[in-house]
Amino acid sequence: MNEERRDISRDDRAATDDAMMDALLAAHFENDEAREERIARAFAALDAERDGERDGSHSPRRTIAIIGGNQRRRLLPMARAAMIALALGALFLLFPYETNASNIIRAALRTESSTKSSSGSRRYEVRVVLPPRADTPRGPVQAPELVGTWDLRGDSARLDLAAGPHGSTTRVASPDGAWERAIDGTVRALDSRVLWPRWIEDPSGEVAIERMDALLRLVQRSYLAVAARAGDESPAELRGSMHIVATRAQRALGPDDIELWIDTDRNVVLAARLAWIGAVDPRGGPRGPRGNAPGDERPLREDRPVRDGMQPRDGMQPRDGMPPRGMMQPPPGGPLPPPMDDYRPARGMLPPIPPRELHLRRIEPIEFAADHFTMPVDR
Amino acid sequence: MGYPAAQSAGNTPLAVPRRTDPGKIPRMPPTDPTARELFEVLVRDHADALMASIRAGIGRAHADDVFQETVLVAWRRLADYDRTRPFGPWLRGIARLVALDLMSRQRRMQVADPATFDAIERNVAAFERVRIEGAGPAMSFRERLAALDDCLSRLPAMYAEVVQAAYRDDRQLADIARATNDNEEAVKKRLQRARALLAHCLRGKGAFADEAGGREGALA
Repeated sequence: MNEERRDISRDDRAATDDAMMDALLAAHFENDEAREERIARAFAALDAERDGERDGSHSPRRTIAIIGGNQRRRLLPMARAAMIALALGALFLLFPYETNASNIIRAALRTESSTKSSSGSRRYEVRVVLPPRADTPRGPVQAPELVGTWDLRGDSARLDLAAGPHGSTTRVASPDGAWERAIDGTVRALDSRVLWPRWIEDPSGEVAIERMDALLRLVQRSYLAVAARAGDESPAELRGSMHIVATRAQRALGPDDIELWIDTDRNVVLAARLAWIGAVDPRGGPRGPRGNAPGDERPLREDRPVRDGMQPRDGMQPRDGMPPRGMMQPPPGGPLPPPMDDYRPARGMLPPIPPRELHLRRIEPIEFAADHFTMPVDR
Repeated sequence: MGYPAAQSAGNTPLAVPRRTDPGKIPRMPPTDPTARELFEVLVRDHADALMASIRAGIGRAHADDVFQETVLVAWRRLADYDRTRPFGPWLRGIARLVALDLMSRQRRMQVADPATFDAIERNVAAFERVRIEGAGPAMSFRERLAALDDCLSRLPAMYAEVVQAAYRDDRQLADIARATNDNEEAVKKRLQRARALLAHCLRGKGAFADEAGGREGALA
C-alpha cells in the first residue's frame, strides 16, 4: 500500500466528510441485534468454510455471500441466524457463488411487479402437501396432496386444485369479482374476503399467496435470506438458478421457511417451496377439495365482518394492539363474540390451517384465453 | 486476484487504543482452535469501525457483503498479520481491497478512490482516538459514538428532526418529504447540511481528522 499521503480537493473532502458522517450516524442508530446478526453471519460463514477445509470437502472459496433482507432487521435470535447460516454452508460448499440475496429478490420483485402491472400472464404448477392429520379412530391417516395450477394475469388470479385425477375445484379472484367452480361443476360468485386462506400475510396485511410480488415482498421484509447457486440440493431443472433460502426473522404470519429459485437473467421466480414446520391438522377427518360436507359451510355473518386472519401460531398479537385486518372495534352493545376458527366459510379448496408444504413451479410460455378469469355464465 | 497483506492506510500514525492488545495475537495457522476465538474477539472489537469505514467508502448497499468477505479474507490471511501493527487498520485495508475487487465485478457499484479511502481512514482513526469525558482510553468505537449525542443535541430542530427520521426511524427521503410537506431535494439538502454541522462539531472535539484547517465546528 502506498504510504504517501494522498490529498483530496476541498469538494472531495466535503463529500468524504459527508460519507463518513453518514456512516457514523448509521452506526450510532443501529440496534445491537442488527450488529450482532452481521457478525454472527460472518462467523457462521467462516466456520462453514473452516469445517469444509477440515473435512477436505472443498477448497477455500474466494467469496461467500450471506445477505440479510431489510437493512433494519429486527430481533433475530443469534443462535437461529448462526444455525441457518451453518445449514446453508452445505450449499455454499458445493456451489460457491458470490451474490446478494437482497439484490436478487429486489430485482425479481421489480420484474414480478411490472409483469403484474403490464398484465403479463404467468402459470405456476402447484402442489400442496397437507399436514398429517391428528389420529383418527383408525389410526393416523396420511393427508392427501393437492395438485393443480395457479394462473396470474394482472390483478387476476385463478387456482385450480385437485386431490385426485377426477375433477378439480377452481377459485378465481379478478377485478370483476371472485367466483368458484366446485368439483361438481357448480359455479357461484364468492365474497372476495373469503376467497383465500390467510396463512401468509405480511405486516401490511397483504396476502402473499395471491401474488408472487407480494410473496417476494414478504421475504424482503420479514425473512432472513441467504443465496447460493443451485446445485445438487435442488431439482435438476432448477440447477444453475439462484437458490434463495429464507427463514422467518420477524413475527410475520407466514411459513417458517421459504425457498425460491430465481432465474437471474430474467429475474423471474422459477420455483418456490414454502414450509410450515410442524404443521398438524388437529381435526382429523377428510379435507381437501372434496373434504367438506355441504352442510359444513358456514355462511358469512351479516352482523359482523369476516374474521380476516388467523391468530399466528406463535401467539403473536396483531401489531400495535390493533385487531386483525377487517375486524372492527367492538359495537356499542358489548364486545364481539369470539372469532370463528374457520374464517373461510366457502367450502373446499385450500384448508384454513397452513399446509405442511406448498410448492410452486413456473410453467412457460403461457397465454390464457380471454375469458380465463371470467365467471362462466349459467346456461 | 489474490489479496496482498493489507497495511495501514496513509502515513498517519495509527496508535489506536486497544482493548485487545494486538501484541497478544499469536502468529499461528488459522487451524489452531484458539485462533478462531481470538480472531473473533478482535473482529468484534473492530467491527463498528470496520463497518463505518466500509459504509463511508462504498455506501450501504453492499456494505454487508464487503464486511463478511473482509472477515473471511482476514481469517485466511491471519498468518500475514504483522502483530506489531494495530489490527483495525489492517482489517480496514483488507476491506478496501475487497471493495475494489467486488467493484471490478459489479458494474454499478461505486467505490471511493484511494485518496478518499485514505481520508476516510484518517477520519476513522481520529474517531478511534477521541476521548469521552469521564471514560477511560480502552473504550470501543461504539462507546465513542456517544460523542455524537452531544453534537446531535446541538443541532437546530429542523436538522435534528430530519436526522432522527432518516437514521433513527430509517425512513426514506420521499417518506420524510411527504411527512414534512417538502420536496425530496429539500430534505436531502437539509440532511446534508445536518451532516456537515455534525462533522464540524466532531472535528471541534478532535473526533474527525483535522483536514479543514483546524476550523472549529459551528456546533462545537
